Amino acid sequence: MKLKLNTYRVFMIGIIMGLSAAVIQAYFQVQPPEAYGISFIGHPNDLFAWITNRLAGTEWPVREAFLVYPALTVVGVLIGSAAAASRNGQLKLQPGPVRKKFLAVIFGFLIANLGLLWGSCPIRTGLLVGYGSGMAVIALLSIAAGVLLAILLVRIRARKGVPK
Amino acid sequence: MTAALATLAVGVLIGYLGQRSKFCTISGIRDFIMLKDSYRFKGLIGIIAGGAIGYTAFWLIGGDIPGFPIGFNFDSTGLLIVGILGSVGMGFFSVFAEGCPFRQHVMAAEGKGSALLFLLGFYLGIVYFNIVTIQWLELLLRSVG
Repeated sequence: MKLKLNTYRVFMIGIIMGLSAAVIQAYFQVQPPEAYGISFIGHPNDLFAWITNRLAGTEWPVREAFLVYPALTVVGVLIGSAAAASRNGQLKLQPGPVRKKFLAVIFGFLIANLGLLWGSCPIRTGLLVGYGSGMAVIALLSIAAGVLLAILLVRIRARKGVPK
Repeated sequence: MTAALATLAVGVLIGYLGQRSKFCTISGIRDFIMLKDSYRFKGLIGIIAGGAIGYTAFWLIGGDIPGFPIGFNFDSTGLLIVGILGSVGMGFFSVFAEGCPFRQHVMAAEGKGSALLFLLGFYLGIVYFNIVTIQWLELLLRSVG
């Protein structure tokens, strides 16, 4: 299967994500909470809490759907992405987009904490909008506001960096 | 068991498709605002559309879709404020991290060093949240209401 990078394919991948999340909620009991079929804040937290509870005897909260068996979305994504990258000769150690290593760690740390405050990643926020949640609409607009603030900051810094 | 296997299967599928398409919600919003490029932004629109179609269809045919549509409900003003602050912060820092958490997992699987370090910080952040942040949050919500 060779996917061409055109715009309709990305839209269709979004549709597939939305439908998959709906299917696994409706027929595979991945709930509560609502629209929890895909989440890259909630599922990693549930997986990590599940493992820590088992290994260290902690009592970190785990969502009801994953009390007995863990959420494996993250594991699946790592397998699927590595398979796709390998198939296309892109699986190799390379620097990545963030140049300063310690900043990458700090960004990860901050995004996990901020994301858990809202309780959803942007994908699940989109799913919640599809579920008819008004709060998710506000959250999605807030994410866009955060992106806008970052763009403004980048532009201001770039302007200051250009010598007159 | 079925829930775990279902998430694994969906994870493999979206991981494969996400790697091939460079799918990223944050980059989609960023490119759309900054460059008027809607290539990745359409992915986010697709998620909302796919979710809406899927939830509506399964709700109509009797799937387990409780409380659909949710409407505007939030437990407390404090949670609303915290949710907004968390969302703004997540959007802000994700631009500098060059991707949403999903994209970071995909890049880490490709072998990108900064994404692997991002995930190190991300999972340390989860530990910190469950030990420290959650207690501060409970205190804050109790005082705000």
